[in-house]
Amino acid sequence: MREKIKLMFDYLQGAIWTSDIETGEPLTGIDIVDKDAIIIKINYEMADMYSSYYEFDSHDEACWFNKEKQIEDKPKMLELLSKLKTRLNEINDGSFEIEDLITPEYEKL
Amino acid sequence: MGAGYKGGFGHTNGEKTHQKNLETTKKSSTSLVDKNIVSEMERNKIKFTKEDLIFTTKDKTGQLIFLEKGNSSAGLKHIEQRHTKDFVEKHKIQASQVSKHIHSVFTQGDLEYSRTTVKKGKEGFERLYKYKGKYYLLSGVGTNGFVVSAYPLDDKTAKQHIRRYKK
Repeated sequence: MREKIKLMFDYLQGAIWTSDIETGEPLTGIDIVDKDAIIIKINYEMADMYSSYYEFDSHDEACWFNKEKQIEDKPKMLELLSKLKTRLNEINDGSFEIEDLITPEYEKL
Repeated sequence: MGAGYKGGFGHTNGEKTHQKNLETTKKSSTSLVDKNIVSEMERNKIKFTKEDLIFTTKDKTGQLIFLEKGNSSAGLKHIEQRHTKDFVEKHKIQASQVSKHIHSVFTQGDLEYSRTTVKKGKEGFERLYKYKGKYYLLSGVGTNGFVVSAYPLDDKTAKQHIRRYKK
């Protein structure tokens, strides 16, 4: 049975679900994905960007999400997403499929 | 999320007291907001919006945790929008019971690991709980106990996280 690699963001998580936010290493259990240096680099950049939108004790709220910055960064994020999917497809030996939940989120912006 | 109290840290002791209060609260009403914890949050000047509280609790380590109604980016609305499918499919939790279930996870679950992360000068935390044999990840901004997100992890993924982060 093919494994499913989900692409999704959350605070301190993503783009590959799940990953180590501090290094960008995916934690999918699929070695060709988890150890790929190109994927790790892109994954780190995407997660870092997304989590940076969250602010603590800001704008008179316990937690504030910078939607304006997310919209501003949309082209850059979608470019990174495209690169990530391209690389995943390049290394895919048929053992996994991709479920992209990031594109629908960004289409709404 | 909205106007409220600023600053402070939510990690305090008093778990036994909290458990007793929780039982009292359960007997008298279905509210998961513990008035004593709310008072403690006010005393510690933790920023929160009282009318938006879904629950307040402390985990077995004494960490104060509170969930607000939130929006699409954080809080209950965010969790329901983004993770309900996982709660239902992975852990067989009814969609309508997600907030109550999360409350039980944090209150009664065992903490597998806790770690803080600093991104661009901003501190966040991640805590993995095991409850009734299943794993749940909590993420929060800052250290005040505000829940940004919570979601189930399957055994395989959770064990990878534990191997990597448990000290």
